[in-house]
Amino acid sequence: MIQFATAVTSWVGAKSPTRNLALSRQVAAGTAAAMAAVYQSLIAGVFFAIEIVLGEWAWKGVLSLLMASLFGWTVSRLFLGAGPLLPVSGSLHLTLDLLWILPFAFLFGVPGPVYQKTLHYSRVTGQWQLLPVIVPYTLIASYIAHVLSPPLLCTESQVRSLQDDCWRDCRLDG
Amino acid sequence: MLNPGRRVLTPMLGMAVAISVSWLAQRLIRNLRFGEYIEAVRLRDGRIPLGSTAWRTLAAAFSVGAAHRSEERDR
Repeated sequence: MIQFATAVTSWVGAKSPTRNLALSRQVAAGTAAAMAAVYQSLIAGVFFAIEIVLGEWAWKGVLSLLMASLFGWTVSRLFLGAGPLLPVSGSLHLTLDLLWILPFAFLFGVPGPVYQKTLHYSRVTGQWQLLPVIVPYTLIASYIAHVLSPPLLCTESQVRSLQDDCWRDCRLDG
Repeated sequence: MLNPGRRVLTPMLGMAVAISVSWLAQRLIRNLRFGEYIEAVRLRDGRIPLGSTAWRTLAAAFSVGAAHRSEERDR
């Protein structure tokens, strides 16, 4: 959705007769607006556009990004209602005894950039020897992450069910 | 709860449709070039081709939709 929004921004910006703002800045503003519209997060849209898209802190451009983000957020609220378009409908029950997950998070997080770098390197040099090692590792890591995630992420109904069980136990004990 | 067979098949079906859409786009449009928006901002003065992005968005809708469908059934 963000990619499509930026493409539309780029197309409209290229067709527009006004050239006060560079096309790249217009696309960054489109990104901020799209982020604000999709996730209904005003400030995050601005930060994302500055840090990730532009990759530099340009203070004089912050106001235009904030305006774009505000417009995206307002339009999203008006037409789609409150709440993000892609809500996470689960609750993460992270307690101290689940800290053992952190090393796994690191272990599973590392293959992503390594995989991308390997792909890029292989494409550039034409050497594909590393892929048979990296691909199975990534698949195994994805599978383990998939197995681990359900116990951590409960849906609302599961949380409610747990609460009901707890109340029933309390009443029985009482 | 979605049975294991459909849990595997639903995203695969979504992927197959997404690949078909991408293939169709490449057949219909000559010199179809896709540009990521971060690369476009930093390297190409913000120029992003709209046609290829629209096709890719359509393809992505099928793959994301299939994954969403299998998750919906899980709840």
